[in-house]
Amino acid sequence: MNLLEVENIGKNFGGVRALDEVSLMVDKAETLGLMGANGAGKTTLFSVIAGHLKPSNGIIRLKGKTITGYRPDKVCRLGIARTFQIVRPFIGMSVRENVEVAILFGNSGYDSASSLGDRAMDILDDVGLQGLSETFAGKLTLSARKCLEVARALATGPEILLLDEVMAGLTPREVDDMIEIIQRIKLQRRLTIVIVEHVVKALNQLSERVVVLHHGKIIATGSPQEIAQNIDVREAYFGASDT
Amino acid sequence: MTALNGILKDRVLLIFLTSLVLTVFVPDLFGSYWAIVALNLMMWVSLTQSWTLFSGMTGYISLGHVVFYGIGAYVVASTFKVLPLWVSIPLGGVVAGVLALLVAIPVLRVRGPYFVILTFGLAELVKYIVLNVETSIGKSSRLLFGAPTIETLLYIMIGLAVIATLMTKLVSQSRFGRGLSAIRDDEITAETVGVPVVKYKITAFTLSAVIPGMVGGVIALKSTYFEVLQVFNPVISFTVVTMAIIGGSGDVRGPFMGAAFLLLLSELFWATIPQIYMILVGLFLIVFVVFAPNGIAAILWPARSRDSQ
Repeated sequence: MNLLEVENIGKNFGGVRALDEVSLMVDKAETLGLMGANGAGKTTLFSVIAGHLKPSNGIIRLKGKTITGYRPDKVCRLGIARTFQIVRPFIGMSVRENVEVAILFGNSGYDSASSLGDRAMDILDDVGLQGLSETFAGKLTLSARKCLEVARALATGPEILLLDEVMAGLTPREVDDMIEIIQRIKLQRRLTIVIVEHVVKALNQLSERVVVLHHGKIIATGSPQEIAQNIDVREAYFGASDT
Repeated sequence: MTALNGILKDRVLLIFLTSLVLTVFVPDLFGSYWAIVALNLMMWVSLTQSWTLFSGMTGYISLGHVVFYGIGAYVVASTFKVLPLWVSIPLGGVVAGVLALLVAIPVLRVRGPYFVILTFGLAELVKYIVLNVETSIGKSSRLLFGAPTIETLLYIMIGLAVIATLMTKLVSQSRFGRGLSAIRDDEITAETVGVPVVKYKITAFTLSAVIPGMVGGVIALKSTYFEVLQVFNPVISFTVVTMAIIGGSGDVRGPFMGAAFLLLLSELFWATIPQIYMILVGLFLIVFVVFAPNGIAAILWPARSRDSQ
């Protein structure tokens, strides 16, 4: 059984069809890359899955159970965590407190067996933010904020992680660090990841399968190598096929 | 139980609560004039403390909290001599809580300035509904003969101030309080990490209405008459917000400092030069918002805040 199933999802914003009959399956422990030009519907799809937007039509299933239209907090407690492309930390809290809130309210639940602070520090260790634990989130650099997005999502104890352009705006060096972090947490926690990324190198290294969205429709699915050769994808990106 | 342990270990809170309770000696030591001043102080402490439970923690600024105070006063006045006060005063709190629960569902859908205006408008709406009901049954105002003495009312009000303080403190230290702070910082992120934002906002709003409902009932008894336009006066809402801003709402002592400060100001100027009083209140409000947004409490007891580091 597929862990996550998206079936014929459509989303209209007024007259604009942002998502048009999108269907995809994500297997347990798989990393699925999602690519497409700006406005292709990638973030909209994440928002629909995570419950921030209600789809106009279609069904979303988690382990066979329909979760379409659930509120975001409920989706989170069922084990789907997302990050935001435009980072949204709790700016009035320290980095550690940001993560603590996610532990307290997320899917894993807080049993007070180990101290909340210790658990938060473990997660911050995993993403390399341990040195900034007491810094206020509003004071962080962009790359640290991106790491915090990942840490906060991890802290909710997800099975599925939806990463929305966590590498956008990072330097090549920072991109390498982020790729390493994602690979490490995926292995450690047997995570299933759906990742939206413009950094092609990251998609190639991380994902086993890539889905390409164009004007709200899926135009190609395949391994990163297959996608690189796909004529439709080239047309969508470059406007002409020169193979 | 762990929450109770936390309270017992919190020296600042214990000292603060003890000083509230010591107010019981004011009538004996300083006479009835100061007993009324003490009663007013406890009233504002209760109201402001309750207001911070919701507005301070979630960042949703309610400009209509007088509606809960007014409805509590109405319950006590309309059941006076019908129900004993130990029933009618808590009943005022319950009715205020139920009213909050009912209005929370539509009101909490909107955010920011729209929420502020909506709470204000809603309080005015309830005021005129009550006014029309009273007029239609031929009661332009109600006299409450045989109300308890000022001393008794002061003791009740001290109790309410203590409960309001404890409630706010307990909430702020709980998982629930963490969730509310998360909502204040970023509601979208809060729900993304699993905070049940709708349930939490409604719960906090309802909790913050109960004490004001009971305070309103006690104040109706203090003035020995009930007049709709007086107990639903929007200036009461504005005063609560002003006290929370001037005192600060990040610390249990903040609402007390704000209430004490404004009462002191009014003792000094209101009776003699009332025009100056309102001008001063306005000036202080501006000064605090611009230069000390975390209030007197943050100046006297600087804690870790988002501006430090």
